[in-house]
Amino acid sequence: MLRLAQLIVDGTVLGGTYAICALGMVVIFKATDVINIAQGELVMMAAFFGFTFRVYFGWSFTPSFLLAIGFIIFLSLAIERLALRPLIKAPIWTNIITTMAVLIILQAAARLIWGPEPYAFPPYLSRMPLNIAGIRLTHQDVAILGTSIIYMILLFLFFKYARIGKGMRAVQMDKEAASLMGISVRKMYSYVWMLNAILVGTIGILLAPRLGVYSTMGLLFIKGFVVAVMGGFTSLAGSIVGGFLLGVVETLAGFYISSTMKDIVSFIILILILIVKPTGLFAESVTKRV
Amino acid sequence: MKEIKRFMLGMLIILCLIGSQGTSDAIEVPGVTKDTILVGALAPLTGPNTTSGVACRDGAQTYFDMINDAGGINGRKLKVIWEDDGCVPAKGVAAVKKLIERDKVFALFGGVCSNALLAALPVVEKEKILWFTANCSSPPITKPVKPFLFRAGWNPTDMQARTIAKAGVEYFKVKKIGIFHMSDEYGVYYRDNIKKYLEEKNVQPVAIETCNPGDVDFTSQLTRLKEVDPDVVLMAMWIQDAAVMIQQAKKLGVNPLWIGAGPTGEEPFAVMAGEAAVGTIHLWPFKYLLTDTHVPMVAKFREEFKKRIGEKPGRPSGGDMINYNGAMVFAEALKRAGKNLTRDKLVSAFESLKNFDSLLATPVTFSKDEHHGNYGINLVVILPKLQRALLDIKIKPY
Repeated sequence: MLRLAQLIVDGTVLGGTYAICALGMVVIFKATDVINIAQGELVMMAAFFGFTFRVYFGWSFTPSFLLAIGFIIFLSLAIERLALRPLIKAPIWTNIITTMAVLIILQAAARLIWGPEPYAFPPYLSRMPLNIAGIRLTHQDVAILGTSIIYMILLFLFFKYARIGKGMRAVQMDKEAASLMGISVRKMYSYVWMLNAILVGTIGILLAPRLGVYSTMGLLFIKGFVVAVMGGFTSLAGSIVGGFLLGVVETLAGFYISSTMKDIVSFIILILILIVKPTGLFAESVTKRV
Repeated sequence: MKEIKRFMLGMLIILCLIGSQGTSDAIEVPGVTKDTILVGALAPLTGPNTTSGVACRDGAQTYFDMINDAGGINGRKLKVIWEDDGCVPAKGVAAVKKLIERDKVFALFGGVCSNALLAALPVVEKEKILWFTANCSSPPITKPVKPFLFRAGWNPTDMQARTIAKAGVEYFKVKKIGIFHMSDEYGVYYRDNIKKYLEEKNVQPVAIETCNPGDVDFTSQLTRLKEVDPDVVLMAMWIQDAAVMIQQAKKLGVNPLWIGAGPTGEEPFAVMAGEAAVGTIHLWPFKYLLTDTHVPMVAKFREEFKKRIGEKPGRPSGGDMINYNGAMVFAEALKRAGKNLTRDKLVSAFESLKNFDSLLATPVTFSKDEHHGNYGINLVVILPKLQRALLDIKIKPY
C-alpha cells in the first residue's frame, strides 16, 4: 500500500509540472488561437535566465527567480509581438509552424549563448528527503507540487474575479464582441503571453536543480502538449485533471508494466481518450456560424 | 551566325571542363595543402550525451590549438571542423558525409557514441579515410580489425562491463547485485556483458532496471530496486540521466553501492548529482586524477585547458583529458606520416606506434592486427565536496 502511495505521490508531482505547462498552452490558445509548440523552450529559457543570475552573478535565489521571470516575460512579449501578432488573421497551421520556428530559434540561441553542455543549478531548498507518513519527498517536490496547486487556484480566481482575467475570458469567448465592449484585444493577447511566461518560468526554475539546465530540456515538456490535447485544449480544468492523470498513470505504468514503455503508455492513453471523447476530457463545445 | 555562336559555346564548355580537371589535379590529397591539414571531427553537441560531446571537442581542441601555436605538424597547422552527431546514427552518417564530400577533410577524429560511428563505417571504408577515436568503446570498432579505424583511450565496453562486475563480485564480495542500464545500444551492450560475467560466476542479478536516454523520472525503477535491496548496483547511464537518477534514489532511500561505467566517472556527474554522488565508484581511464598537478603532464593539460577553454565546476573533466590524450596520439601519428602526407601513410604511421607514452594514460601500441591502442583501467570513488580518490584495486577483466 505504501509503495502504491509513493508511486501516486511521485506521479502527482510530475503531473503538476505537466498541468502547469498545459495550462499556459490552453490559456494562450483560448485567447489567441495559437498553439504554442515552443512552450517547453520558454521553460528552458527561464531555467537558463535563473541559472545566469544564480550562478554567474552569484545572486541568491529570490532575486534570481524574480529577475528570470521578468526576462521570460519580456521574451514572451517579444515573441508575441514580433512573430505572432503579424499573423493574427493567419490560419492555425501558419501559427503552428511559426511557433515551431520559435522553438528552433530558442534552442539554437541557448546553445549559442550558454553552450551545448548541461549545467548544474544549485538547489534552493535542502535536498534531504522528508518522510511524511512513510512517503518520501524532497523539499523541492513539495515546492513544485505546492506551487503548481497555488498557481491553479490563483488562475481560477484571476479569471473569475480580476478585471484583466474577465477581459481575457471575454476575448476568448468572442473577440469582436469584446472589442465592441471596449476591451483591447491586442492588449489581452500580450497579457495572456505574460501570464503564460509566469507559469512556465516558475516551473523551469523550480525544476532546474533536479534536471540540470541544458538547451534541449524543453523537449521534456512536450507532455504539456499531450495533456492540453487530453484536456480538450479549451478547458483549464481539463489541463489540470489531464496533467495529474498523465503523471500518475506514467509512474504506475513504469512500475507495473515497463519503465521503458511509459512514454508509449502516455500516448496510448491520449489516443484512447480521444477515441471515447474526440474533443478531449472537458472540452467546451464550440459553435461556428455556417 | 547561329552556328558560330553554338561553336563558341561548345568551345567554352570544353575549356571549362579542361580547366576544372586541371584545378582538381592541383589538390592531390583531400584536406592537405602546403600549410594546413583539414581534419573532420564528430561529437554529440546536442542530445542526452552532450556533456561527453563537449568534453570531446574541448579536450581535443585544447591540444590541437597548442600544437598549432607551436608551429603545427611538419609545417602544417591543423584545422578542425566539428560536426554534431547528436549520438544518433543517422546524424552521424550525415555529418561524416558532409565532412568527406563537402569539406573534403583528410582524416576523421573523435566521436563519443559508438552507434553513430558504426553507422558511418561503410562511408569511411568506401572513402578509405582514417578515423581515430578516444571515446567510442564498442568492441566491434576494433574487433575484427577495421583497416581505417583506430582507438586509444577508453577500454572496449565488454572490458569495462566485466571490470565493474568483477569489482562487485570479487573485490567487494557482495551477494545481491543489481543492474541499471539505458535502453540504447551502449546500455544494452553493458548489461549483456555484465550478465555474461555473472553467469560465469553463477551469480543471478536480483534486479535489472532499464531507462530511456533523456528520462527524468526514475521512481518506478527505484521503487522496484528498493524492494529487492541490492548490495551493489552496476550502472551504465549517461551523465545527466545518472545524476537525476541518483538524486531520486537518495530521496527514495535506495542506497546500494553504485558502481558506474565510464561516463559517470567524469567530473560533471558529481557536480550535477551533488552530495548524492558521494560514495559512488566509477571507471577511470587514467593513472592520475585531475587534481594530481604534481604530475607535469596533468599540470600542463590543466594550464592549457584553463588558458583556452576556461575552468568551471566539473571542468576540465576526465572526458576533456581523454580527448586531449587522444589528440596527442593523433598528432604523433600525423607527425610520423611525414611531410608527404597521404591517407595510406597515416594508417601506416598509426600502426607504427609502439609504446607511445603520452605520460597521461597507459602507453599506446598499434599494429596491423591490433587497432585498439591501450588497455588498463582504474576505479575512482567520489568523496565529499566533489573530491575523488583512486581505489587501490587492480582488476583484470579477463
